Amino acid sequence: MFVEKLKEEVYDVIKNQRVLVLVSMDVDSLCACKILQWLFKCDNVQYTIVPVSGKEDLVRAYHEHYEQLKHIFLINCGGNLNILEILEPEEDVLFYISDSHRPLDLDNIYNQDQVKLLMKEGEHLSDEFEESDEEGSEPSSKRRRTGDGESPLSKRQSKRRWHQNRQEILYQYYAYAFHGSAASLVMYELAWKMSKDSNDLLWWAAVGLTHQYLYEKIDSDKYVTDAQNLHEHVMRHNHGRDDNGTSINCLKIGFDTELQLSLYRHWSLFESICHSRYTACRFRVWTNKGKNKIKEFLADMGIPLVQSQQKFSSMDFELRSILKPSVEKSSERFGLDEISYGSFNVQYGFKTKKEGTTKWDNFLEALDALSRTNTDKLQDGIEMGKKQLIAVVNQVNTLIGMNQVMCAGHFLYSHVRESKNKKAAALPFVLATPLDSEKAICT
Amino acid sequence: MSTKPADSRYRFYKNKDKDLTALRQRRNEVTVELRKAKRDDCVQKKRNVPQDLADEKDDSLQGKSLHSIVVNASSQDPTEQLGAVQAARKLLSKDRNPPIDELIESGILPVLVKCLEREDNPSLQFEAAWALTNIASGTSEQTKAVVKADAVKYFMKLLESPHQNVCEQAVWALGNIIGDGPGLRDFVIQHGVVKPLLKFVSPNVPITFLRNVTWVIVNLCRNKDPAPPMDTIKEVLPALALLIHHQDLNILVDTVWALSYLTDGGNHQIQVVIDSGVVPFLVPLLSHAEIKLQTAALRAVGNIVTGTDDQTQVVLNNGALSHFPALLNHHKEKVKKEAVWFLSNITAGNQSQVQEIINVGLVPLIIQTLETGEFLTQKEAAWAISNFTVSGSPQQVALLVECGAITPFCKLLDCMDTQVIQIVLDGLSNILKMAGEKSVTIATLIEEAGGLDKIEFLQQHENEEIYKLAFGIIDQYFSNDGDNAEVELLPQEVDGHFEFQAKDNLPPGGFKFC
Repeated sequence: MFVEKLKEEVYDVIKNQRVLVLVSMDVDSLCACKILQWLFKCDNVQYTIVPVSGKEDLVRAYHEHYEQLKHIFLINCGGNLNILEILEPEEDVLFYISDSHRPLDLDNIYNQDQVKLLMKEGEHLSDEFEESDEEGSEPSSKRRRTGDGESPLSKRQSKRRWHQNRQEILYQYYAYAFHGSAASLVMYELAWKMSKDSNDLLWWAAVGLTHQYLYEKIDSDKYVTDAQNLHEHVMRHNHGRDDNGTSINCLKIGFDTELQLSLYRHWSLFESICHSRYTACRFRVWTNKGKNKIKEFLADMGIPLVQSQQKFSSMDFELRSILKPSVEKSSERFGLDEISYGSFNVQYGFKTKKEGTTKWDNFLEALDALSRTNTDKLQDGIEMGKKQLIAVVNQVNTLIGMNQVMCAGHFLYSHVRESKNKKAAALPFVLATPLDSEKAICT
Repeated sequence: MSTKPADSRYRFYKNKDKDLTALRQRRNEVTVELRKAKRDDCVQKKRNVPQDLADEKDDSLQGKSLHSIVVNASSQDPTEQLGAVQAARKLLSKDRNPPIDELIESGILPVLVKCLEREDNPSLQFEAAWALTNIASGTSEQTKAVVKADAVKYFMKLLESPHQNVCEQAVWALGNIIGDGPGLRDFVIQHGVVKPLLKFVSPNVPITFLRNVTWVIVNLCRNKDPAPPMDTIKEVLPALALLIHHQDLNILVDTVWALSYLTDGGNHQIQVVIDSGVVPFLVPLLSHAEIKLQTAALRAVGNIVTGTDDQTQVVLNNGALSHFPALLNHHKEKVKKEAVWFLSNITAGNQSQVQEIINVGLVPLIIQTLETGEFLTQKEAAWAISNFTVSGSPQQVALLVECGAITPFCKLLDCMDTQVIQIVLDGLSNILKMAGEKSVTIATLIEEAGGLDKIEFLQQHENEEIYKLAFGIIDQYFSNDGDNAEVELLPQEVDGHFEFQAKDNLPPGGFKFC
């Protein structure tokens, strides 16, 4: 069943219990997990966190830990599976699921006792499956005569038709996978309702949301709606721009337009353009023409090639300060109309700005990197992220060069051999990423 | 009813044109509009059935076979002809995507209509009538195409056929044409459909046939703008008064829907329905075990109580209110909503009708739905309460307050629906006025329910009516300087020292004292 009163119906119930938290391994899940962890710490809740990837992993993790635990919290996993069927739990085990995967499994939705689906307020009514009932509708104004329809036959027939109809509705319901609100947003809402939200939690929610958008899990409409929502919280937490200087340890979150260029603040502009998914695809960096086009693009913005190949932090201050407007101006000519989007950024003491974008690449460092005391780890993560991006782009380059891209209906796909690039193969999502970018090319 | 003494009071409380007739009428319009929009939605959905892949495939094959069907349907060879018409009928009876347009384009309509004339061959007449029935079951365009082919005339003749299956099929086809809308409905009525149709309402007609006949009667009663001719209504009503005693559920449901359409056409039509004597048999259906029938009956009696107080009284005299405790606790939200809608029209009646509501113990139940219902149900409940404050005596309104109406009523003030806000403000302002000297107690109750904050906030509302209402309430009952609210109401009695306080509310010129 759906649950909207997150505090009363979920948190207050598990507060005095031991909780098993099963977390999927993507950025949104990690952010959601961080928020939940923090809440648990505040209330001294005993918990066990187990990362899971995939269905088998989920089942295995559950069976390893389920003894003595009656409260299972699932983040971004299990919502689209019939959880009672695959885990076969005892009748007093309760599941709390915050999963952005859609469509949600109907057995989960209609289970009244054991499964609670955590929802952002007002979300589920609009886009979920609704029971249609014929009871009490007016008689139809026109009727077609089908079959030889006499009474004994027609009853069976209408029953059959009802089943057919049901099958069809179910099929349509399950036909396409998509994503709902980020789990981190749901967790943030919980924290907010308990008046335990802070800038740190807010930042995690922002990262989770940005991740969803950048990986095209949600469309820009949904992103803008959610971001606006979050922006209100940002304003609430970051108002009062006191002139006597913010304290060094203060985390400050802002909201500004951002460029779809990965990690450019920690890289050189040129490299970033070459290796960001959006620009790499639009410029077709694997062709000579594409590379020239990038140079043309830079020239159009009035940025010398040398400057662009330096570390961004070493670029001329003036160039840096007019970067966004000039990118936006030139992007029109180059057909990069989606290059900028509204996003969150955070300032931590005197260090340089980090956008919401920065963190999406690193998840190996997992939870630690998300906490602000650990900027070193973050730095490592950023480096890792760069390597990964380079690997992806190189991979795509070779694939295209070797004509290994196959076309299958709406999708282009290619097979990445494991041995070829150790790093790439070790990461579960890299396989998916080139697929995504290919898709971007063909549209 | 505007001649009643109580009515002068309504005008006094409602400074605008909100007398009861207007209240009811507006409510009626809104619901009808919504229902219409919803029905349109449904129709659209049905038409948007995704194309079956299998059907697309045999499109080209079909083109050829359609042509040969049309050719053979005019054949001189009876077997070949019957086979062709039957083939067309079968195509049109497929479960999904019958090729209606393709068949019309292939020119089959005149051929089929010709077959209707063949009294020597009832099987052929039957098959052709069936095929035409299904073509007429489509879009309005498709139905009109059948009418243009002059089919109505021949269907009328078939009603006299000695073969019952042919009669039945003709009835069905005419039902589809009548169901298209008021235009074709009246067109078929002019062809004299009603009398021969009603002849089939007799005990020796098989049940499936009778179901069809009842359904056609529903279509005859359906659609406003314009409503069906009064003569037709008067002809049809005795049949409905018979059918409402039938055992068959489908027939009952359709009969009651037909009555609900007739009662949805103004007070004159309501009166004709009442005069037919169906109300005593309609009211008990409110507690029928079948929700389908319950819903229809609720709609029908609900429409009747939108009429005059006397018409409403007929429904009450048949014990309608005793069914409502169960209906207000119904597990279907839709039924609950319609039940409160019904009651809102009773509370819009006269004081003795309001008293009947109180006597059956419905006030706490209405307040409960106001508290716990879904929004649309709450809206109806808000209407019920607000109307109550207009129609009720001071004692009756005091009882409403005692039952705890204020708190859930105030809760609705922060909803997004301006109409709801307005009726709640209206209601609150009436309750305050009714309370007379005790208005201070009421004001405290409102404040405790968090209503004052909301009303204060509503003074900034963009809707002028709401702003005025909110301002009026604050000004009269919640002003700080107003222990003595009377003084404020009477600015002409202002003496020298009062000028200061009144200043803020005055136009720049100030009052002139001469």
